[in-house]
Order: sequence, then structure tokens, then C-alpha cells
Amino acid sequence: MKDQEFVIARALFEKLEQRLKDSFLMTPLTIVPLSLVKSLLHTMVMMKSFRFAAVIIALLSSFASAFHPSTSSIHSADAASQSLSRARQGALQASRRSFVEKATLSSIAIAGASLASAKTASASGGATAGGVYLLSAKQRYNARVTAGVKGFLAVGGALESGSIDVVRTFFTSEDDGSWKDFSAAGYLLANAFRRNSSAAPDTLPSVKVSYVDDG
Amino acid sequence: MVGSMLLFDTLSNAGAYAYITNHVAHSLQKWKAFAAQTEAITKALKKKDSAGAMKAYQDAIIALDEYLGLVELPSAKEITSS
Repeated sequence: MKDQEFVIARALFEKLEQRLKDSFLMTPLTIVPLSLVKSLLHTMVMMKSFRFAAVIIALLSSFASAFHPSTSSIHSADAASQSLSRARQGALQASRRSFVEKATLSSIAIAGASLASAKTASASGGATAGGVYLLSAKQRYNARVTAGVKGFLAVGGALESGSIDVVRTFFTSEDDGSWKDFSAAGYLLANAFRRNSSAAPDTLPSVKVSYVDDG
Repeated sequence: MVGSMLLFDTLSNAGAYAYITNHVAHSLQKWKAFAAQTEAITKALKKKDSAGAMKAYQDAIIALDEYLGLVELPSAKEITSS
């Protein structure tokens, strides 16, 4: 998720929370579900599904507006003054109708918005995504992997033309762009996307070499 | 109530963990697939099977592009043209 989208989602949620605080919905019975929704939104932000987070926020805000204190206070005053009169029944029916209308319209709007804003999530790796470890790993291995890819594509041309020397050099050399360097860097780069940056993969050849060098 | 909240939080974290682990497994998996195809090239060349080597090379290029996508690098063609 982009930072801008995250800021928008957070602002929407704060607005919704304020609206709930203003209304009578902020009771012990609603605080717990609200905190659950907060956790759910946090997870969705983590999993980069902004669409679903926006749907939940919009749905909750439509329900909050349906139970706004202005309309609820009117109904309670009405109930105190008139008992089961036709006017009150009519008002209740109108209230229910308006609630259903609001809920239906908001559902349609939400469905449209969710379809319109459909886009591919840009996954950027594991728990270290965007962190210092992944950035340094990319700086370290990207150039070597890129050189290896170029060398590997040169092998394709050599296979077509039948020049075995180029192929042999690629597989036997240990320089940048050779298979040995490419395989080590490529494997390490794939490991850089692991979930835990503190757990070094001990089975890697380069890690074994560094242990031998250290003593 | 607190228990259900903790359970929900745990399940949410488990979902995120599964997503991350899945992504990591994929990048390593694709790298291993590419490495296996490259090994197939060398084996075919040792047997002097040029057609088999070309077939393994084409499969390796597909696996390489999938791997490069997962580690956020451009495709092999884009790297060559840059």
C-alpha cells in the first residue's frame, strides 16, 4: 500500500470513531466490536488490501449515520409523548425505510467503489520489506544478479550459434556475471525476502565461507 | 471479551504471517526452479544434446523471469536492453 492510501484510511477511521463518539453508539457494547474492527483494519493495512478496509469504513459510517443522535432523540421524545399513535407508527416506518434505503444505497456505492478501485497489490517482500536489511541486500546483490542475467542471456546466443567457449566460460569462471557468482547472489537475494532478518541461513555457501574466514 | 480480542489478534497475525511466508517460499522456489533448469543445460551439453540444452534454456528463461519479478527486478529482456 502506498503511504498516501494509508494516511487516507487512517483519516477515514478517525472520522468514523469521532462520529461514533458523538452518537449514542459509543457504549461498552460497541467499544469492543469497534476495537475488533480496528484490529481488522490494521491487518488489512498490513496485507495491503486497502479496498476491503475502505469497504468496512464506509459500511460502518453508513450505519453510524443511520443511528445519528438527531433522529434517535426525535424518536425517543415521540415515544414519551404519544403512545402507539398512528403518527408515531408512521414515523417509525419512515425511519426504518430511510435506514434500509441508506444501507442499500451505501452497499451499492461501496460495491461500485470497490470494483472501480480494483488494482494489483504491490508486494515488496517479507516482514523486513522496506527495512534497512532488505535495502542493503538489494544494493549488495542486485548488481551481481543483473550481471548474471546478462551473462546467462549471452549463453542463449552462444547456444544458438554453437560457440561452446562462451558457455564454458560462463559456467567455469568465478567473476561477476558468471554462473557461480550469479547462483550465490541469486539465492541470497531470494533469502533477503525471508520473514526474519535475524535468522541467518546457515546452509548458504557464502555464510559457510564467512565462518571459515572468521576462524 | 478480552479473550476473543486476543484470539482475533492472533488469527490476524497468523494470516499476515502466512502471507509473508508464502511470498518468501515463492521467491526461493522460483530460484530453485531456475537453478534446476540451468543444471539441465549443463547435463545436456555434457551429453552433446544441443536440442535438449536449448529446450532447458528456454524453460530456464521463463523461470528466471518469474524469479526476477518476485525479487522486484525487471525482466531479463529489460535488463539486457538497459
